[in-house]
Amino acid sequence: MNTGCYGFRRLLERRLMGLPDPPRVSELDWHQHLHGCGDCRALLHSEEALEVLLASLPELRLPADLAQRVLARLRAAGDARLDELLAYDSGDDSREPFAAPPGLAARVLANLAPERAGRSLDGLLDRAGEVDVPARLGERVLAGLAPHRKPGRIVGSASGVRFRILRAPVMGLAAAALVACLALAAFWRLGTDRAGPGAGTHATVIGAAPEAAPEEELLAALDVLEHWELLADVRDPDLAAFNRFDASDEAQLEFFGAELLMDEFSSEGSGGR
Amino acid sequence: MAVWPENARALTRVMLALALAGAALGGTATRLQDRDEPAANGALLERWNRLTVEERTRYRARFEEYRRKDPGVRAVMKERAKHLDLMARRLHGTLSEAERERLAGLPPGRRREILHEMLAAEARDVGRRIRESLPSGMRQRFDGARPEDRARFITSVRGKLSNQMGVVFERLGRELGLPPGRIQRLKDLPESQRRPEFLALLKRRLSRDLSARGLPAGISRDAWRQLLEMPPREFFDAILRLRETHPEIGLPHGGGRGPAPSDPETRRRLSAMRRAMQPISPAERLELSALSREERAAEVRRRKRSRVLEVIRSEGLLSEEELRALAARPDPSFFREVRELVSGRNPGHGPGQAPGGQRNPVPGGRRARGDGERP
Repeated sequence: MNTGCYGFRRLLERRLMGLPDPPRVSELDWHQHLHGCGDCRALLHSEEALEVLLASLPELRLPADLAQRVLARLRAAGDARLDELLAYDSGDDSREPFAAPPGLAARVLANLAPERAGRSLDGLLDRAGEVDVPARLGERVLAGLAPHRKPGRIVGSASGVRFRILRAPVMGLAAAALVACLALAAFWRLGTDRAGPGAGTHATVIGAAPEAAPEEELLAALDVLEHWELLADVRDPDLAAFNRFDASDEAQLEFFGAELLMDEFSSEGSGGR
Repeated sequence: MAVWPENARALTRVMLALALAGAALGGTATRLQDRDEPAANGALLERWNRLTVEERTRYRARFEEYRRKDPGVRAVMKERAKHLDLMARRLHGTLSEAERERLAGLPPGRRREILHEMLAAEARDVGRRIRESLPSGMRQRFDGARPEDRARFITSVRGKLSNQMGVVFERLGRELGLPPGRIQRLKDLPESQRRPEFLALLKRRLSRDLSARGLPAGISRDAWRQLLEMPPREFFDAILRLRETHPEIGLPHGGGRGPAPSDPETRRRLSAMRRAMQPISPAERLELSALSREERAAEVRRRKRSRVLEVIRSEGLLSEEELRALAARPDPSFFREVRELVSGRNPGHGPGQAPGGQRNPVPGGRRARGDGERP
């Protein structure tokens, strides 16, 4: 069994466990790994055969009067509170609230306590001693942080380098103007790049709502998306045959297949799938 | 108040630094992208940008569905999509320069619609060819299967074909005079490597046969040389297409369609009928580009009906009365009847019998080309 087999069998196992929801077991029939692995094909077929068998079993149904018969037997056995309990279960609000025996909770906890001690959260908390917080810890922390909270301090200390020339107001304005120019140029370039041929019909015209750039994965799948109607059509038998048989299958069928397949087909009999 | 100017200056400095860094990084990234990313990526983006808003929305929905599929299924879809692309290029290549210009001049949506129809007709026709290569019992089961069971059926047939690959290597190897050790090594190859090896061997055998017997009529040496230069897979696509109109291309083992009829007159009739049943040419479809999709489909069917009836009439394959009865049938029944007529498997008439009890006009024919359009 190689890595491909391992991967395929994990997929099959997940499908048989009902993952994802809803499970798509039949989709595995198209799995690429099956083209090259007879063992996994046989495994899939046997699982599918089992599914078919299970699906063909008659649905189990309980006898209609089973509940009545069980209740009758219980009443006959003398359970005096049975009907009272059933009345609560049926949502009859006119009944008195069902009262638990006094001290029940304490008794249950007392019985469980030795079992839980030492390995549960309660046990751990019980073992933990009191933690002593140093006196005035909060005040001291705030006092220590105070110098760092002065306005302008973060920028100044983070850069670590002083560009004195940039302090001049003229240079500040020039910088702002440069940023604005760069932003405009970038916006203009984005617009011209995307407009392309026939831009008037597309969403990328400047001023239209911006569209998310296509992911690389989407672009890589563009071939598939363009031919989707042909590739995903499972109703048309001709397209199904086109999509799933390759040139070597066709060549084999064309030059040898009918005869060879008949050997296997006849041994299968008419009871095959 | 004295704090604000200090903050503003600091903010300006940070913005400028970020802008300069951004511009520098952006420029570097663009240069790197220009230099390192394959041109294909740019072409993909360009294709994406040419889509209309509606198309992009549709493609995104498809992509979500695609992404939910298993990687193995996605790989098969990707491989088939590449095959469809090759097919689309080949179909486009059959157009003349003027026709290509006309196609390019269509509105983008209409152009894609026409290309899609060309491709769909061709893909269905190849699918029909494959389906009709199956032994009749298998074909009936395949046709009768529920769509969701077809995948399982195909996997099972492919498995059977795979199981028989050893026998095929044995026969081909003996015919080509390969030493037994080499044949055994071929048989022992992993399944994924056996397929290309099989195609390569079969190409070798076909080339040898055709060189010995001479090229089929109508195929020039240049065309044959071009065929031989193709990789095995494309070579077989071409050979299998060629066999539709040149059934005499030899089949020494008697495959899906059986041996070609030895009588030249029958072969000629068979070819004429198959040609009439082929999908309409890309150029002809382009002529119909002004029509709506539905009108075009109806017109395609009308043209094919008329083409088929013309061949039957000119070859005297049916009596006038039978011809009228055939012509009166609705499209699905008409094309089914004609396919059965050509393939000689009409259950109502017995082997080799035409609908009127007449002998099958093309007794060597075991199957026909499809109508190429959904009825």
